[in-house]
Amino acid sequence: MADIALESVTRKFPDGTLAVNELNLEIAEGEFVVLVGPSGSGKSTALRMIAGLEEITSGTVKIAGKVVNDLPPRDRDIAMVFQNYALYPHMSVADNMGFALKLRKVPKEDIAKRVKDAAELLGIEDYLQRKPRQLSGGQRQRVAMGRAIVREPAAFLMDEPLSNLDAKLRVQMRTEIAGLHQRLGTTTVYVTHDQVEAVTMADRVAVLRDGMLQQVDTPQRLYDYPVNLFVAGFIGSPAMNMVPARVTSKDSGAVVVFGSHEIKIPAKRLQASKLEEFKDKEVILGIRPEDFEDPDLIPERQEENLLEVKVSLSETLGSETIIYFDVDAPAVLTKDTMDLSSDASVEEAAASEPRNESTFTARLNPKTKARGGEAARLAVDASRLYFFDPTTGRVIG
Amino acid sequence: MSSTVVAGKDVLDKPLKLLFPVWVVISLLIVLFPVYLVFMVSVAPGSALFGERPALFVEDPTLRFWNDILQRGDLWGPLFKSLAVASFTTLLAIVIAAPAAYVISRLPVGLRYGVVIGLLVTRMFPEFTIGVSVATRFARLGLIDTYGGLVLAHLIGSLPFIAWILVGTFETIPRDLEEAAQIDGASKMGTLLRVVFPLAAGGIAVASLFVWLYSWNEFLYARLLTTNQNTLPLQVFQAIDRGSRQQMATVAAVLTLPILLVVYFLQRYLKPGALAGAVKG
Repeated sequence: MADIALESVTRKFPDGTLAVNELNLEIAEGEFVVLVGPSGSGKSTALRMIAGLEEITSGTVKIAGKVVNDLPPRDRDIAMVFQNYALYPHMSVADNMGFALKLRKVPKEDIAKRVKDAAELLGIEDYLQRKPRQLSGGQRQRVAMGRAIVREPAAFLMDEPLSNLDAKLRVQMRTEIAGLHQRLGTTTVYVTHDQVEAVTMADRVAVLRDGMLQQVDTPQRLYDYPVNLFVAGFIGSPAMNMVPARVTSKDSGAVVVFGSHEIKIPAKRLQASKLEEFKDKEVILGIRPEDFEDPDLIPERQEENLLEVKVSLSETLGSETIIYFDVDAPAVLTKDTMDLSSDASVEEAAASEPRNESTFTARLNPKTKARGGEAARLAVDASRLYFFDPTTGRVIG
Repeated sequence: MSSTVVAGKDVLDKPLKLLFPVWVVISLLIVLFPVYLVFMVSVAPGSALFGERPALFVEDPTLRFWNDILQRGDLWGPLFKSLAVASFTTLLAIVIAAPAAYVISRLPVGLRYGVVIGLLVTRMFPEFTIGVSVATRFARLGLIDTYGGLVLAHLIGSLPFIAWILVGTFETIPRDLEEAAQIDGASKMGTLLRVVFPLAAGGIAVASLFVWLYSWNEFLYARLLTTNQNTLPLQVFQAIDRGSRQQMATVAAVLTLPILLVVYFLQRYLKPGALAGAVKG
């Protein structure tokens, strides 16, 4: 086990692309850190630089306090799990798992024992004599994990290890990997584009975009205190609602106005932040779907912050009900929000005339009577509003 | 649109299914019938061949001609020379071409195809034009009538082709596997020997077979570089003028037998699907 430190690590591809730009990240011994970001964010490149599979243009990578920039992968004492498993097709499962030990001239009996132990841990002891092609995707995934575990390396590096599995198996393996980490306590760096995977497994999550580290923190703190629009929109599912808004004084307090809606800002929230400076200027308001609720289902009702909306669609999930409603204010079209959107409709919207309408999502108690096509009232938890500077995208706090 | 495609497929499906085995059988007959004839004639007594309608089957086969050839013994020298030259040519060709082809397969795509086409350019000239000048040069170097000279000459023809075959093979081996091996602790050479080459066994077998057959059958260089000890094809060529049809057929059959043996031993590498299960397909 070892700690890993990236200091101003940069990777510039031959075509001039800055895949990773001045990345600073310290991973403590035994920590499970997830690098997350959309495709092209540099997360895999960063991982491959730790592994030694990618050249480091500048900066240093340290494993266990030792600079490893010039060490080949085999001298870094790391094990890697690849997205497509990368099992050796001409070797049996046992040989695949024992390959690294064999190269290190570990005695045969020791290899057999360690392979058997790892196989039992992963529940693949019945397949040890099979070839990879005779295994299902989930079993191959386990073998790939086993190949890493058998090594007892200083760190595990995992590059989207679950993205080739079907949804159900992915959730199961997610739990298994987290469980394995708890048992083995090995330092792990895990790359994924799936924010749910990131927040469910990680001790800390590092959010990357365009080769730049946006924020690194525990999943809960990322969710509660995103530093910018990108992180705010990336972490959390369904994603945070965002809308251009204006903070103005009204009566004795302040309100935030968007479209025809108005939400009172608690005095405490206003005083504790730099929001005062943005008074009467445009801001971007962020509201998490879970900060809406059906007012009839809140024990201590707050009449003051109710939105009158027309529900366009409701999805009943049993444990919760998701409703969608339109707000008469334009969608936020900054680079941040566009990077977040995987479908082209947002870019199309940006190219065409801005529509004065955007869709909000709210996550309600399943007992709600709000249904698609009907009007509804929604209470907003005003203490949990997010405000962002529209020019920089940074949170105002 | 899609429904018409499905309907069209339905209409053609049955006749195609019926035609396919017929087509396979016809292809096999075209390829195998001459081989059958050679072996059949080599065991046929004289009476079976010269009737009004030559028989397709021999009713009273005889091993007389095989006995004659084996006892006469003038095939052993050429047989040994051909075996030795073909085997050394194959060995050298693989040892030289496999590492080169691996490197070419890992070049950027544009460069890769440039190099492959460059290799094949050397095959665009008629062998005879090169052959004569190669032979005169070899004569000066004292390579006439040597095994080494013939092996070198056969490498000229076979290296570009097998490099080309092997580039295609190595291209199919995912780089992830090499990276996995590196992380598992293998050196660059270890990665090649333990992961890349075993996975390329099928392609290497095909390339070996190709070189071996080329060298085994090669006539031009053998003719130009030989004054004394014939190779088997030269010997067969000379046998055509002499003796009966059965004797000719027997000599030809001797030329065929080692090929069957080589294919038999390489067959387990010739099956498809060697890479299945490596990476998620």
